[in-house]
Amino acid sequence: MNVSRAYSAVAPTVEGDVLVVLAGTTQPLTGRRVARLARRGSVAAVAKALDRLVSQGLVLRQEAPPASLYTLNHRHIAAPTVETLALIRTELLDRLRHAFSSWSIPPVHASMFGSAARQDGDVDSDIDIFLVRPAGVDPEDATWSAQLHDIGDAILAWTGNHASVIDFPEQDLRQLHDESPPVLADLRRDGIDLAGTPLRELLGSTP
Amino acid sequence: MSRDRAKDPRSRPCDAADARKRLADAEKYLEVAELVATEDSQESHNVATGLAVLAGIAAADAACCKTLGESSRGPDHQDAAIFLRRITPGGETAAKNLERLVGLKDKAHYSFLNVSSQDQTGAIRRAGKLVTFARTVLQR
Repeated sequence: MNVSRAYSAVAPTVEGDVLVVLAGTTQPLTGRRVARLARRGSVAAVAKALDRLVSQGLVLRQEAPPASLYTLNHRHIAAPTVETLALIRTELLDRLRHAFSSWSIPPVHASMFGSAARQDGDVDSDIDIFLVRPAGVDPEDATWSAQLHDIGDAILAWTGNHASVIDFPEQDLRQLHDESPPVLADLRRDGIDLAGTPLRELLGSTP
Repeated sequence: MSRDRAKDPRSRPCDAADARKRLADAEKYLEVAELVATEDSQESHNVATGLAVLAGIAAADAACCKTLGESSRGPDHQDAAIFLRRITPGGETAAKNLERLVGLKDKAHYSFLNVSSQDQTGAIRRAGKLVTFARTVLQR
């Protein structure tokens, strides 16, 4: 699925983008504001989507001339489904954090980075994971290898996307910092902490 | 509806890029607040608390920019809590944390009174919760 717009796996049209914006707030929003906050859709497309959702009763329209203001109808029987859809990315991050917390050899650090973290990927994008393997744990260690295999399987099952895992040895962190390859800038800018020492502490905030 | 809008605090438009910038500010303020708090002196209590307040305000801005497309720009930082409360889920709790935090602002920044060690600890804890909330909102 497209992890950047995870809700689109279930609600692929502009209506999905509109509903996710409205699910995030109790504040009535103009159609133009909804279009600005939505990940996709022109002002005209968003206006049409809002009209369709109002006709379904899922969105409420209040007239505030010259504008119309829209809110999610939280009493609608479909509203809980919308609220769940809006938090699908959070669910993925929660599952990843839970999975890493149960590892018998915990990583020094785990984070998601790349397009999945930047939210600019597509349905075919890999989910990039940066893992720091504790010093003293061999990359071929059976338990560690099984953990890597299992997290890859889990990510594929949860999202339909392949995991692309960087299994980085703790003892080489100093070298990573000194050489400052492009991936380091990606991690600092976009990385989402999942387990262990936070990125800011692990890598420092500047090269 | 028009009456409700007239009561709205002043705001400024902002977007996802602004949200990321304000979150980075909030994280740095919090980091420095925690560092200052390791010094055991009255001045460090005041300064660490002041920095924690700035972290909380920046975190509130970040969450509001991402979700509402606007953030508070009034001189009264309690206004920021009004916007924060409109974020779902989690905005209500975050707003309460911000209100308690901003309540320490004048004491920390301008007052001849001193901030207690207990206030400092509470301020950093609340700022931490607000930064975590903003991070979560930006990751949605």
